Amino acid sequence: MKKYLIVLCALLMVFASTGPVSAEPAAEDKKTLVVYSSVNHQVDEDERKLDMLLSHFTKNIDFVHVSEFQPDDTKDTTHIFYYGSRNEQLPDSFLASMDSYEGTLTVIGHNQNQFKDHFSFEASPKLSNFNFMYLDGEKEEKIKIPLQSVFTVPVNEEIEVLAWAEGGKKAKPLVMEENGAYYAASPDVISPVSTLFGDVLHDIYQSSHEESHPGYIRLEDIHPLVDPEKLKETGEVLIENDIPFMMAVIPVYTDPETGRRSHFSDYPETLEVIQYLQENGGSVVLHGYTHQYRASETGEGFEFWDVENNTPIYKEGRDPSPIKRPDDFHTRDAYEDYMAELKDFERDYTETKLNKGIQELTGFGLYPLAFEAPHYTMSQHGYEIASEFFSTYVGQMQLSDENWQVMDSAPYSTSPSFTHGMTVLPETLGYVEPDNKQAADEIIQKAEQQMMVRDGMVSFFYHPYLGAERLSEVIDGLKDRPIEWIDLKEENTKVQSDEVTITAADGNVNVNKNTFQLFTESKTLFHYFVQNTADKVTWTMVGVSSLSVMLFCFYTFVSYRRLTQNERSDQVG
Amino acid sequence: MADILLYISLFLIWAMLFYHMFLMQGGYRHSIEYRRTKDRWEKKPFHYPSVSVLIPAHNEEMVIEETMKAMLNLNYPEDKIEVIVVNDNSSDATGEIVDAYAKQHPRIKALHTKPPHAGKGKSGALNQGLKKSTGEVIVVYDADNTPEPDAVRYLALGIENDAKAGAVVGKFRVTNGNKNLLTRLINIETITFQWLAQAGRWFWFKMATIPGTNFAIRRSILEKLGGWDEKALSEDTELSFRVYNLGYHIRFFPAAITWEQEPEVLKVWWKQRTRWARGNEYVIFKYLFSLHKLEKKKIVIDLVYFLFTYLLFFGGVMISHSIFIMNLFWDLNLSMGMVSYVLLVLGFLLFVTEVTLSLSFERGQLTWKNFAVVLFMYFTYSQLWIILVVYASFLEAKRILFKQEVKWYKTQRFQGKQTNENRSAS
Repeated sequence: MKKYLIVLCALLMVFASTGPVSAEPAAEDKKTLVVYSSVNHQVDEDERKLDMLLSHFTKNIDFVHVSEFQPDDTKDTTHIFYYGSRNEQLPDSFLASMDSYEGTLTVIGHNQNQFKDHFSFEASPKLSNFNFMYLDGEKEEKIKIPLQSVFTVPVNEEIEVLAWAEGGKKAKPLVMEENGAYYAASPDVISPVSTLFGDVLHDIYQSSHEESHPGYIRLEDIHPLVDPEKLKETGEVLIENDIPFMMAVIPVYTDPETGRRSHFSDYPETLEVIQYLQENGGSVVLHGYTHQYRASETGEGFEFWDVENNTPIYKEGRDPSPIKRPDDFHTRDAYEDYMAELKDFERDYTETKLNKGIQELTGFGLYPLAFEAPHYTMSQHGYEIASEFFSTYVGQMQLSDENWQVMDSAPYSTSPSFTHGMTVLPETLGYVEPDNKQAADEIIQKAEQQMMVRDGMVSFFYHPYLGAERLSEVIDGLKDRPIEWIDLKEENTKVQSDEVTITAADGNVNVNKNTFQLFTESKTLFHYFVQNTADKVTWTMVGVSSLSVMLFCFYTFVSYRRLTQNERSDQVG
Repeated sequence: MADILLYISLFLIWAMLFYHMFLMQGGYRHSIEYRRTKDRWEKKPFHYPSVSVLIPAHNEEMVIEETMKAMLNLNYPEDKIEVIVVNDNSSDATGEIVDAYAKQHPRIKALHTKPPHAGKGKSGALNQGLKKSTGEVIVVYDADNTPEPDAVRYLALGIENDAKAGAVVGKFRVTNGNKNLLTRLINIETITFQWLAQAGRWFWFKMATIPGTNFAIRRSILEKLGGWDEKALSEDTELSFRVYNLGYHIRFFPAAITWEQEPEVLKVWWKQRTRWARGNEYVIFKYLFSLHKLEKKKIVIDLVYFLFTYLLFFGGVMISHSIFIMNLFWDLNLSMGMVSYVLLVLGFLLFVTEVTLSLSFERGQLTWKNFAVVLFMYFTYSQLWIILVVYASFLEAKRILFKQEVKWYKTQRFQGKQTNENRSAS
């Protein structure tokens, strides 16, 4: 019965669609406070994970470290989240404040036992493992996940369990509610636990989000040297299936051995295919300018992260000097000055790359509507800079400035505080791995799991060099699922560089560019412009002169006949 | 870099080809229109102006007699026409032949020039003749010309009916066109030149170049201009420019037909053409740097055309030829693909159709044999022009650098008259 309801809901959504990424009405009213307990007192990767999950419901989120909490902080809030990422004794003032709090309190992870007024139970500080989870009442749809741990909570009648964790055939409460307060018994809200938690959050926020699954397919790493035939073949599959899609485009390919840079102007065939796909349902996503830093290969290298040093891009690739630590400085001020300098470098570097990327693509008639950092790696500062250029970000987010490998996705579209206003369309299903024969099935299976979240995003990427076949497999598997494929051209996106503004809405892309600056500032574009114009002119020349040749043949015929007729009449006369 | 050069050369070449296409279109229209004009004028009552025909002759004993006969055959009221043969310092029998005719026929007058007023080339001879002449209209023929009987009448008809025409230019045809391959080529070339460049320019711009023979010019204009420029190697081009500058146009009226002999030997052709090329280069430089002084900017059209012919188009061909040769040895990474080959073929087709169209205007010229010659012409005769321009430019540069005297070379004549069966009565 429920299945039919889902289908019905989905159908209603299709007809009454306001776009797949619908914003919660009056989202700003849900003033949310996150109280956290990180060791360094800073908003950290853990808080950012939560940020990603909560910003699906509201953009009005404040973060405060538990040690700095003031009772005033709760003022006007409708929701408070305490994120216990470590075991500690919470300040009395905070606990007192919570005791009298009338909004919705949600506790995550450690220290649940200190919120005595809200919960009748105490989670055991001991963790137990689980590898299945499911929403209450949907046990038959439980999903298998890599091993995770949960604080054990004894089940009693007071508690309403919203999500279950199952390990060794034993079910344990994962998220539960008691007297209007919620507890998530996981020490972490990283995916895949975040998937279930994300759905439960709809209850916590009493959200009206309907059952609907936006999704996208992104053709990945499209650079000038991509095989145009395979790219076209892959794109055609999507076009035939009437699926709008994204193309992660990199304007410059750098050969790691020779260092030679190739642009789309050097590969007009590839460019033509991308232009064709853009016209037929594809939307361009800027995927870096070169997708590399130092001498690495395009598509392999990182562009906005120094992987060698595991730091943001703080210096020229060829500069061997190490990044200094606070201990290298006598005063705190000196260190901060130094850091400011590094950040200035990062800003310059990032701005240049993004400006060039947007402008070069625009010059080639490709209009990026969103951004995706190469390998999803970018510093927090980087996201801030990117937000000045893009209104939409696509993919996973790097959550730590210490380690690029800390990255995650929310299960649905969000707009976390650290993206400074960008809408994030997360990638949730991974990609078709070339060597994995089960890749398509795995994606389809993960899609099922994603769809446990009432408006969970179903999104993956695909490398066109694999050809069309493997993409068809996935699409066939997803065909009957109620997925609303995102068309970026419908999403009110805005992209802004020094010389170009691109806005999209209602399927139309509007480009406002300073053509002269565009083509004179970049040697590549200037060359392309000249070449393109020369091409047009030469083919016009061909057309006009062909016509002339035909005309002259006709004239010759007419004139010859007239003369011979005259001659005949001369002879007769 | 090679790319840019190739495009530059391509555009230079094709600017010229497009201009030719445009002119050819005008030429075709004029081939129809001039007949109507002729018929209209012939129906009107006509007042014959007095005409002085000037024939400069320097050692022309081989051809002058035929010319004299043609002059006597001209249909023109006897009291309105005089033929002045300027025997310019000839060392052969030219003088005697002319004197003999002059004695028998009052129409013909002989003017023998002696140094220091002699041997100064065609311009000098014409200026001498002009001094002696009395006609309101001056008509010029080369000494090897045999105009058709109505030629002068048509030229005068043009002058009388077109007040704005400073000069009227007739058409010339080749008597020895079937003599050998060279004369065949020249014949085709002259027909094309006149229908494309002369008729086309007249149709669109009311301009034509005075060709040195078979044209009429108002005496008043010549007097205003002070006669011919004796320094100019191609006095006709130079004169045309000065006529435009007075605000007159030059009418191309192909009803007036003369027949002339063309070089039968490559060497003679070469010398003649070198003189023309140098002459035109002289004109370019004379006017290009004093453009601001010209009153009628219309000349710019012709000047640019000359500039293209002798410099830009030529430069384009040189560049594309060298790129082609270099590309045989090195990979120049040229980005222009298919289109360059298509254009190469189209360039050839344009040449063939334009020339064929011109031939179709002349009775008996559009034959399979001539068509074969046209195909052959593109790869041989037309290419000779490149070497010619290099040579002429070299000579002109030398002349300017070393301040040499201009020496007028008279085209060598050939024995044996060519009675042409193709002569049309029209």
